[in-house]
Amino acid sequence: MANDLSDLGRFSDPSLLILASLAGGPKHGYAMIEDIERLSGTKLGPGTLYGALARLEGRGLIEPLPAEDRRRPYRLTGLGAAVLREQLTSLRAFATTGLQRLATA
Amino acid sequence: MKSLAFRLLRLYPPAWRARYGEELAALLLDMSACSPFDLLDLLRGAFDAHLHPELVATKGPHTMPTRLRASEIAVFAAFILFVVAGLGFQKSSEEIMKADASNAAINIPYLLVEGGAVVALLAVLAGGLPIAYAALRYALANRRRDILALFCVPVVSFAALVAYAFVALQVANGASQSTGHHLFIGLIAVFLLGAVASTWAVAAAIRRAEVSPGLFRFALLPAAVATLAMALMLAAVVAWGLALRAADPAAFNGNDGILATSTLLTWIGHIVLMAAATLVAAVAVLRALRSGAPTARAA
Repeated sequence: MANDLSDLGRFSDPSLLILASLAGGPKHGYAMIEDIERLSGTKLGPGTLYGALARLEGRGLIEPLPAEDRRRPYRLTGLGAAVLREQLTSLRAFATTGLQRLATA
Repeated sequence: MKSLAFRLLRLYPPAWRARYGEELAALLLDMSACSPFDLLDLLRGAFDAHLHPELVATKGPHTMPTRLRASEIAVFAAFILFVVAGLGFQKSSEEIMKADASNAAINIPYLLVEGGAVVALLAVLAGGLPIAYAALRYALANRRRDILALFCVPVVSFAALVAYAFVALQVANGASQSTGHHLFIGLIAVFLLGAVASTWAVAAAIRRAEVSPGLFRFALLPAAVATLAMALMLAAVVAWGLALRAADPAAFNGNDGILATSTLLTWIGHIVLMAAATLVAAVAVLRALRSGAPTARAA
């Protein structure tokens, strides 16, 4: 399914982080690693990053831009933005419910 | 650690490296250092890429149609081999053609070889020049010195050939026949070395550059035309030898071959080289037509 990242196995979390990073604008690999580390405290390894990028590109959630001095930036597609919104909304609902339960515990 | 990381990139499948290898290498260059975690992560990534070859089967708009490109590079290399054999044929047959100029059975195949050479050259230029130009523009725009250096190889090879020929002419002037013979062998060696190095360098430059898949699709027809012209020339060289054998057995069994060797053996050698080149080109074009072209259309 193109609108779900859960079937990506170990690449589902990195994929979500990549989509969130690209929501801030196109980035190449190293810029993504740095941005994701700032955003979430997670440092993606190069193999994981490109494994996730290949999957996201294959699903049409991101698209490559022309390379700039060997570095190829990627950007979010319309479908990618929709999937990211859906995933983050789901996470927000999850977080809200969890916090409400903690408050009443 | 970093050099080890670059070595680990070689563990990825070729198709994966063709698509992502360069940008992943750029990422490794950007990283200040590679930790053992990064090396393990690359190892896992390579393993995953082998498990999921379909990840690079889906072509993005900037993905190079690698099979089509490889096929056309093979046609180009085969053409160069054919040209080398053709130049040898031209050199070894010039004396015979002077002696048997009025014989139509020998002349017509010879004219077919000349005509085929023009057609094949024009086809290779029509298909190859736009690709070479695009690769050169890419190299200049992206400051890719490695690609620019590769494009310099044919120029340097030609300069070396001219320089050798100039020096050899000076040395050969007034020297013994044996010295002249050795100088000519040297000239052939420099020419062959230059041809091999130039073909390899141009092919490597095209592989490294980012060239529009449309140019490779466009080049498929010229590649097919060049291959047909090579097949025609091969048939004409065979017909030329058979006609010479029938019309002038003395010349056919003489020693007008390369470096005054047997005409018959030289003729057979040319046929073997030309047949090998034509076969490589034909297989490459068929591969491109069967699988490369549809993939490229989808890109």
